[in-house]
Amino acid sequence: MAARFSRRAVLATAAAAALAPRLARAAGEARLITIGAPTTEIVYALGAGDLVVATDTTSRFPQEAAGLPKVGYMRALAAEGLLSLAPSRIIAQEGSGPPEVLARVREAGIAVDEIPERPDLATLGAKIALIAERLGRQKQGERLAEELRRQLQGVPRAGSRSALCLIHPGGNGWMAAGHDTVPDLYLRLAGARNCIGFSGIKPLSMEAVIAGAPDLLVISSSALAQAGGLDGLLSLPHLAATPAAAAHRVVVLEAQLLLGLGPRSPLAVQQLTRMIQAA
Amino acid sequence: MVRAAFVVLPLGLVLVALLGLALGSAAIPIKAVALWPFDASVLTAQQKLIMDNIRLPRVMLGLMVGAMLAAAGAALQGIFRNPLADPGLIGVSAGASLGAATMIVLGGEHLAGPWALPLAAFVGAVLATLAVYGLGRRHGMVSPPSMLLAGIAVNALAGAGIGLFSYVGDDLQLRQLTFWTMGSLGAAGWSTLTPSLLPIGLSLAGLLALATRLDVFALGEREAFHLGLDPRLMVRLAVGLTCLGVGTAVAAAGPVGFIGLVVPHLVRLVLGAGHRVLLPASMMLGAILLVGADTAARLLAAPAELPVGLLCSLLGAPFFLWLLRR
Repeated sequence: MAARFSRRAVLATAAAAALAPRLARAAGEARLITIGAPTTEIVYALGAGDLVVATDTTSRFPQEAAGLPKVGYMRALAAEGLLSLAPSRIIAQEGSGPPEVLARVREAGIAVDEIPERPDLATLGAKIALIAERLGRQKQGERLAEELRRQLQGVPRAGSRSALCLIHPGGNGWMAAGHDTVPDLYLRLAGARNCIGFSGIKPLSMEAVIAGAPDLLVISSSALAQAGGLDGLLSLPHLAATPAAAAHRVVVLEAQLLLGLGPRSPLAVQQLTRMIQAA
Repeated sequence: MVRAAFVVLPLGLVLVALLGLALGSAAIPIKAVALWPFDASVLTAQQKLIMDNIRLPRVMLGLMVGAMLAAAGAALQGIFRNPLADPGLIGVSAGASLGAATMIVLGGEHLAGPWALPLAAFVGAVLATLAVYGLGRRHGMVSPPSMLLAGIAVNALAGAGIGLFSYVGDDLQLRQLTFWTMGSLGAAGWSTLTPSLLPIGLSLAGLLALATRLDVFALGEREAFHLGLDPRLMVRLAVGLTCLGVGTAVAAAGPVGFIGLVVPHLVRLVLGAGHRVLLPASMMLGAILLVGADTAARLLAAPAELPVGLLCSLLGAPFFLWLLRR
């Protein structure tokens, strides 16, 4: 037993050693690890994607980033795992961690940037400016921020329809996005009113849904799949009674897009706006 | 058998510690690792940092936490004469989790300090244990069955408190809490290791010193009393030492399950129930299992990591079942 176990351990080590990227660090060449979907998307939008050597598991866009080595979930990083990729800089969304792990990485002399994450447009501008500054791409940063500002302000305002944003089914119920969330900002930009009164993402009461009578449902694609598709969703008793279900007004957005403010945010707002104007 | 075990276990301990130092997601040549204690210049500056600040404190913390959890489980199973007793039962883990949840959700800015979370967890562990001990007394006498029941109730209460904080907390706090309760040695550094040394060392030494009296206690409380033991003092010592040591271990690494419950059973199946063998053997096996699982946790998903509690069960449970069926 003991012998077999140790042989397996040796094999695992050999495999790990063979798979470990042994890219020699080219002189002066930056090697980035980006943590958090919006952070990764901004780095790519600034044209620095070819410097990224690894990302976290939430970074699934763009395609190139999805294929890179993954350092784990953004809040469960490993110090040695990060260091083993020999990064010159780690650009991490606020809340990445655990904090002790990032402290260990800083002790090793690696620059770790914490990028603020709050659901408002000012923070989006600040994120882009900060990342652009750290990458020495201020020009591209200003251009990207300007472009996003134009797209997000250029969205026409529709009437005051109410909307409900469903996040993902928890163990035994649904969660909804209230005030102070990215979906709430999207709804306001698209000219809709969030029918949820609380702030943050919390379990949803069925009565609140019926009382809120949303004209529009917003849902992440993964939550929709878990609800059994559109038919399954709209046949849920508390949703079936809403005007949104009656008119089949459902906007499906990818979870990363729904929860993180980044370069693709205008896409989300445009989809919502179209649906609201059609209502 | 016992003599063989006391050759195999220390060897295993040394082997697993060396493996834990030699292996990791950063590829450091084994030869350099072997020479490193004698000549630090064989490593690059980066590799030296990884060895000094990450692997060494991590392996040491793993050895201590693993030994502590297993020893506490063995002692509590002895005191309660109940095979299902583990450090969680006297409220240590649940209390620590509630303390951590309180700090994560209400601590706000204070959480920035490296001490806040472990300290809150430790205080929670101590308070919960005091509550279990206080509620488990009947007419001034400690009664292990009442303490078991009080432990179950305090665990439920702490669970409710954690649920409440999870409801109030925002998304980030919720995630942080979830990962904390999974347990991990990933945060280990000298700053977590140094303050843990004394309380865990004291607790381990104290439990070892109780070994003979635990054997007497196994005969029954009344019998122990007639043999000159003070049962109340025994319970107080065992619970107090467990609280000190496991409270510290949980504060440093989060709650790691399985080891405290199953390692003493594993040892008992092979070496018998005498505490003078059971306690030291459990300590060594607990340390081996935790450091081994942690090393695997670091390698299998590199450069990411798996939760170590998960791997402990994954490695230990089939082995335990095999022993049972043998």
